[in-house]
Amino acid sequence: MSSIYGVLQVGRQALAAHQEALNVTGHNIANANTPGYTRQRVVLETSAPITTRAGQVGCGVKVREIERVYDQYLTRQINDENETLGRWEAEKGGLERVEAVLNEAPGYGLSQAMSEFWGAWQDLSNNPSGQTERQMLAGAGENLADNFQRIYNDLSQLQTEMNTYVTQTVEEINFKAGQITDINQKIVTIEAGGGNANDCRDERDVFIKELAKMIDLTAAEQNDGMVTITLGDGGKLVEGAASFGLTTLTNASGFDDVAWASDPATSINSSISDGKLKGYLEVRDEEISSYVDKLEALAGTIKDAVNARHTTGFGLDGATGNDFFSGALADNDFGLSTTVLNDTNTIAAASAASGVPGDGSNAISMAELQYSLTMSGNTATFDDYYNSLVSTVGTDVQQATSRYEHQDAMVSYLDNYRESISGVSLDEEMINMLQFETAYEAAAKVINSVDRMIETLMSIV
Amino acid sequence: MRVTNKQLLNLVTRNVSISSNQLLKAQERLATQKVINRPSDDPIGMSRVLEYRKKLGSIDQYIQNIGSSKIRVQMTDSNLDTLHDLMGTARTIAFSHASGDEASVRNTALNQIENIYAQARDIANTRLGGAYLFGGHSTDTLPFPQDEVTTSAESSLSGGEYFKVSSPSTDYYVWYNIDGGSSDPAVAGRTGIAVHIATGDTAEQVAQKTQAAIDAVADLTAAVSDAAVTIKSDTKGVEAADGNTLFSFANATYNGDSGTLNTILGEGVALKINAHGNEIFTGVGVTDGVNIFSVLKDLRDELEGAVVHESVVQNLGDQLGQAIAQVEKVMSQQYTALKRLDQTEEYWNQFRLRYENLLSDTEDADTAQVAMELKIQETTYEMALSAASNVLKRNLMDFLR
Repeated sequence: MSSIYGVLQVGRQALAAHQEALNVTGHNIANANTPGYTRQRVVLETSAPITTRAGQVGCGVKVREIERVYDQYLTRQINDENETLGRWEAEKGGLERVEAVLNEAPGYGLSQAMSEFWGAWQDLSNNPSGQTERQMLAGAGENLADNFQRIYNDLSQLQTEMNTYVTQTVEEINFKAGQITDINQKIVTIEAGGGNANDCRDERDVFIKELAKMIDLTAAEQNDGMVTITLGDGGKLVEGAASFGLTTLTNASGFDDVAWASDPATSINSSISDGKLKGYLEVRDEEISSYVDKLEALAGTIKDAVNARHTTGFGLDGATGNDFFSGALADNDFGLSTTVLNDTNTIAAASAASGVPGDGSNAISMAELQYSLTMSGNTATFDDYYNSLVSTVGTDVQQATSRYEHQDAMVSYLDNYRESISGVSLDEEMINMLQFETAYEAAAKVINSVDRMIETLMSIV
Repeated sequence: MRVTNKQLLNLVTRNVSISSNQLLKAQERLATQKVINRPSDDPIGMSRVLEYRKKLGSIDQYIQNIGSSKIRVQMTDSNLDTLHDLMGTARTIAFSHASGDEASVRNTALNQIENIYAQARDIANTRLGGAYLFGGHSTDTLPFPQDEVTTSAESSLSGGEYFKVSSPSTDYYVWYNIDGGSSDPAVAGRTGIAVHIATGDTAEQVAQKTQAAIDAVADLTAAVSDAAVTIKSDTKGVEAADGNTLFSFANATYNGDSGTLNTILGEGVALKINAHGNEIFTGVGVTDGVNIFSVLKDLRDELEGAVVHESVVQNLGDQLGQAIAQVEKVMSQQYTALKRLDQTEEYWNQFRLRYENLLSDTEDADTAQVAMELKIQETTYEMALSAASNVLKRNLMDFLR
């Protein structure tokens, strides 16, 4: 039979339990807006009953644990989607900058420069000995070369920037991995003493989510409570209390590849398939590279085709065998040849020495280059080739944007879903508070009653 | 499903964000009046826009080409018209003097023919913008210089008499020193070439000595035939002019070439727009071609002679007829070219309009539509904001005591 003090204990325990519940409610309300916070819930259970002659008698309430309302499968899904979001965010950002370089919409770009160049040759053919026409042609040629060089330089600059981002991201990944190992240790220490390290786990989840945005990973919680983070190639970034860092190595093109610090000579770029890192690498190595290659092909073919016709032609001074363009984009010196720059009379408008000065047939043949199928294995004209390059850039940007928006919507939806499970609803907490407050008051009343009962007993004696 | 405050907040934020993005896009379209403001707005559309722009640029260039060509063709045409009339007059003169005539009447005819010759030569040497119109590709060389001098016998010459010769590089004068006793006329700005002749020299002998003296000069060459000395410079033609009045001049050769000047009318389409000296004046390479200047010179010489031979003059008249036909042929070519230029210009103007329309359809924004879209977006934005403020105000605490 439980004594009167037993009832007192029941009351006391109830007070304690409800106080703790109120504490947790208060904690939830305080953290209603903390990012990554999972609402905590007090799990109340009955204390072990004692057996008396009258049967089982309850011994009140106790707090079994404070648990996080948490769906680990949802967390895994959110991390996966964040990886893809990170990748497309990075790609969209990079490609939009490329689009700004190649923007033909206002109309003063490379397309117009090419058009003016061919037009200047036609003007020359109408008046082969005209000094004005020659000056205009030299000007148009310079303008064309300048446009090519400027676009090339801007694209190369973007590649360098993407490279900087890659290096920075690798450093951030290492930093985050360090943070995760610290938290791992903390969680194990706390949970060894019993109880849940709820807030630390929340913090760890936030770190893992941020890390997932940067690189694709698999996070798995071990039995001891520590999280192991594995990257795409199976290597472990974080294993328990140890983190294995990443580093960069310079590749053949002069840019940085990602590698394990433990094996700095092997690039692991091919095993990275998502995250911002993938986005930057993709833009740097695949997309901008291909645009630059196409630009060089176009400039190179124009230079070769124009020079081929120019060397067989004759200038006003009877000179022949001169190039019109010289230099290369990669050497940052693509432009008119010094011969033409110094003297526009060397521009070869005539096809034969006897044709000087009135023959403009070489100029006509030059102007007709714009219709010749010179690109893509002799299936496309210069303009077709350039148009398709601009179009490709546009399509790539469009694709990255639509993938990004889709991912954004997806992540937003998942976040909302997580919110509905793990988020704090102030209304709910208010009701809980009412609930615990009332129970607390009732428990206090119980103690009050027992107190009067004891008083009564005392007065008997 | 539980709905937390944060969810409501997130939803509101997201909606406002989406709404303001749309608003920005609509504003941009209204400001630029274009629906395609960057390649990613519509990649295929962008590609078409570039294509149309290129086409418009090409068309403008063709129209420009046609414009400058028309000037040339019209000028050629009007010159040939005048030449045609001159030839007609020459022919009439030839036939009207076929039968023997009084010397005085023949004199008038002679002057007329000389006049016609000079005018024809002026036409042949017309310039357009610093380039010779009828020179073919040699647009910087005088097509028909006077480079043949017919000398007289010593008895007709006086000491110190001279004629001028100009090569592309130097101006000369050729003066006659009879028996070493004449004084150098010292013409200003010219280099002197002395020809030593003896009293009693015939015209042929004078010509021979003239030729020798001129040939000895570095950049001149000379050839002689009877009493006519033909002078050439090493590179181009010379122009001989009268210093005194006793020399007669004629040109024998065309110093230009048969080069064609083409203009681009369209993709891979070029049209010949010039006429060169051989086609019009020398008849070289032309079926039944005649050298107009030779014929006129022969006619003049015949009229100057003591007796006019009817058959000769008749023959020359026929040749002049051929010359007229020769000029008419070139005239019709020029006329056809002009017609073609006009038609092509008309064609391109029509085409241009069509491409401008295509470009506008692809690229331009319909102002009314875009303005309306902007208004709708603005309203959507405002509604999103208003919904936000309503949703966030209420919670349980307002209702608890």
